[in-house]
Amino acid sequence: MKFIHILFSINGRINRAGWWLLNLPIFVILAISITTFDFPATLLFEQIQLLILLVLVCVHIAVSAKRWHDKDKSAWYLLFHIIPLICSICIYAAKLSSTWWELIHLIAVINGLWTVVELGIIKGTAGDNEYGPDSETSSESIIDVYISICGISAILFVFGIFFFVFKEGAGFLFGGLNIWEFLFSEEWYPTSLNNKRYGTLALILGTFSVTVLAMLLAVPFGLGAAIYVSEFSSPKLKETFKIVIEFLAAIPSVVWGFIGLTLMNEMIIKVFNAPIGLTMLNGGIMLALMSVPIIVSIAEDALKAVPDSYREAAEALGATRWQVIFRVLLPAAKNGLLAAVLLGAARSIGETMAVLMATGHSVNIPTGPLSRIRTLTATIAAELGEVARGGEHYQVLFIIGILLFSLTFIVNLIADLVIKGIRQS
Amino acid sequence: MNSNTEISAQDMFTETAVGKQNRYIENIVKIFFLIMTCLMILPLLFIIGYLIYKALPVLSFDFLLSNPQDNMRAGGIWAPFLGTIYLVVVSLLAAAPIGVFAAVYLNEYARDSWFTRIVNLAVVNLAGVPSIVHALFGVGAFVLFAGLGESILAASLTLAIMTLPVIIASTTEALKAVPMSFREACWNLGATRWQTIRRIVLPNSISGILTGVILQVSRAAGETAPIMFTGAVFYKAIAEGDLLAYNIFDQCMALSLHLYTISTQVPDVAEGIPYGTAIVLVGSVLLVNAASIVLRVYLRTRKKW
Repeated sequence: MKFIHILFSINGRINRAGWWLLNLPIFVILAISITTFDFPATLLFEQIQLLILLVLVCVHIAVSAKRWHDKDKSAWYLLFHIIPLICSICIYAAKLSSTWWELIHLIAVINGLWTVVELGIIKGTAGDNEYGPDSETSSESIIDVYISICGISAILFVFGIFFFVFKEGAGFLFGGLNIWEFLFSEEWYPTSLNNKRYGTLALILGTFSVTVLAMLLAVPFGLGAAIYVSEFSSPKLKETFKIVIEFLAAIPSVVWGFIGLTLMNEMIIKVFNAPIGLTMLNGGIMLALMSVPIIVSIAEDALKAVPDSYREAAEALGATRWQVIFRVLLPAAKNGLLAAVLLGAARSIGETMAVLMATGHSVNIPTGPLSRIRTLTATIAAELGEVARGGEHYQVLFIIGILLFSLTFIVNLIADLVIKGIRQS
Repeated sequence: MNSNTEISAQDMFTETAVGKQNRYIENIVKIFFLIMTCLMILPLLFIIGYLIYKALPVLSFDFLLSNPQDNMRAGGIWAPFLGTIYLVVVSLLAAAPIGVFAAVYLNEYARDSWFTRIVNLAVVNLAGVPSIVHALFGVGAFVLFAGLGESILAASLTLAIMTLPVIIASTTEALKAVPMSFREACWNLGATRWQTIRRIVLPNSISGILTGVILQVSRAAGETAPIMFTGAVFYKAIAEGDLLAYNIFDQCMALSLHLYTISTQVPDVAEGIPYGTAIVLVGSVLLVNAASIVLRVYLRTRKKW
């Protein structure tokens, strides 16, 4: 109610912050609309746009009137900048031009600048005046609304991501795509001339196999490091390790891919005597190094959350540290450790550049660590740039996007529930 | 009786066979876990050392300040470097206010309800969305729907949404660290909620918020997938040494994409150039991260409560 009053009533007062908060977005929208709009508005879409613009102008007038009140002036002062502005817009819309019209334009511009200084920069009268009480806190409900919008923006973005990815792929998902073949056929021939086939089984298996391999490598080391950092290291060493882990997490994925392409490629060729080192093993090692920081930090949190009394009780009974860790700590923290592994896996599933560059990029059902594979993410990254916008192939890539989104969403959701479960118990 | 207790007390302080065995086991366990930790840390040092070693022949200021030449087979990295700066700055301008205010909402406004839990869940999931799905979203929402086309603006907005959780998470931490008694004291003086946030909560947590913002910068600078289809191009010539060479409604080159391009798409690139690009990218990202860590450590030493 209070917010509506601020938006549309010309009674009361408002401070400078409130004036800016409402007018800045309005100015931006008006500026964009005026440059792109062509009169007269014929389409329904254009008419709605025009209506919104009119509402925005009303808000501008109401807020400016309140600002004049704040300076203990009548709202009639509005006419000073509204009249030249309307003249100017009419002239612009009618595309009139002569020296006189230019002069009116100039007056409008000078007027506008004066108004901005007068309303946006110069303070109102202190204390109460004829039009209402002091305006010190008058902009707060606007700020509250803005903060709430930012607060729920995360929900909007998650829905937005799903909506827009879905929107691009929906046409083919419901019209023509054979879902069974999409999920369970290994024939990925999107560019074939007369028989296009969109089977992603090889890609799905590629993603899973490389993720599993990465987890096999990352989980023992990640948990071991977490146990060391949380149970054995001195505070100073702990700090150092945490910084190193942060650095490890900060290395961009494309750099990991580059390492896989150069250093790890040569190493695998030498060690396994393989013809080429760009394999599942290569990608798995890169992914392991990328997801280890997440596993360590979350597993360490989980171990830290185990009460010290557990450790003390076990040690008082004569248990060695090894026994304390294996019989007491790991069982007590198992949910948190599970969440750590899940989040690490989610990271691996979603990783793009490293697997694109390091796994060899060929559509194969994986047979072993040295087979060349391709993942879901890498397929999108490699092919989206080359497809015709709106075509079947393009839409299939977005459907793969939906698949990836759902997969990571579910894994993250489970991890979150597992973590929440600990907090409640 | 008396002498008996003395003996047993002495026994307690000399090491029995079992005690000795336990001590050995403990040391072995400790060393085992230490080795596991080191096996994670060594790759970091090894990789950075390897990159620097390979990049040494090309690294110079000239490399940084000259454009790629000869179809990106020679020359420097000025255009991609500047492009990355543009992308990072624009995405920071979009993500910082939204992220900080979102954290303020979660920490200062929201009550503990199912709705707040959903918002938190959304933040967690936003952080978990694969980067390539963010790219698809950027194409669908910013490039096509909003009509921005493939531009720095579209790419930066995609990056902003992707890095939002980083800012939200660290700002929430910073806000939580401000003791409740500070707020209560302020409310008791008759201040409103926003006045308390503005004068008490934000000034006392500004440095923690800054660490989050710095982390966002490092994250945004390294990302490749989200900008590939929303605004970054393989090659675009710009004036050397001109800081305003890009227009935000236009496409740009980016360091991360440049590294991908010259290491996979372009044959016969001069030895050293990809390594130089990689080390500049890693170097800038780690430098920014180090700045955030230094800030955090410095803050902890001068914390007043």
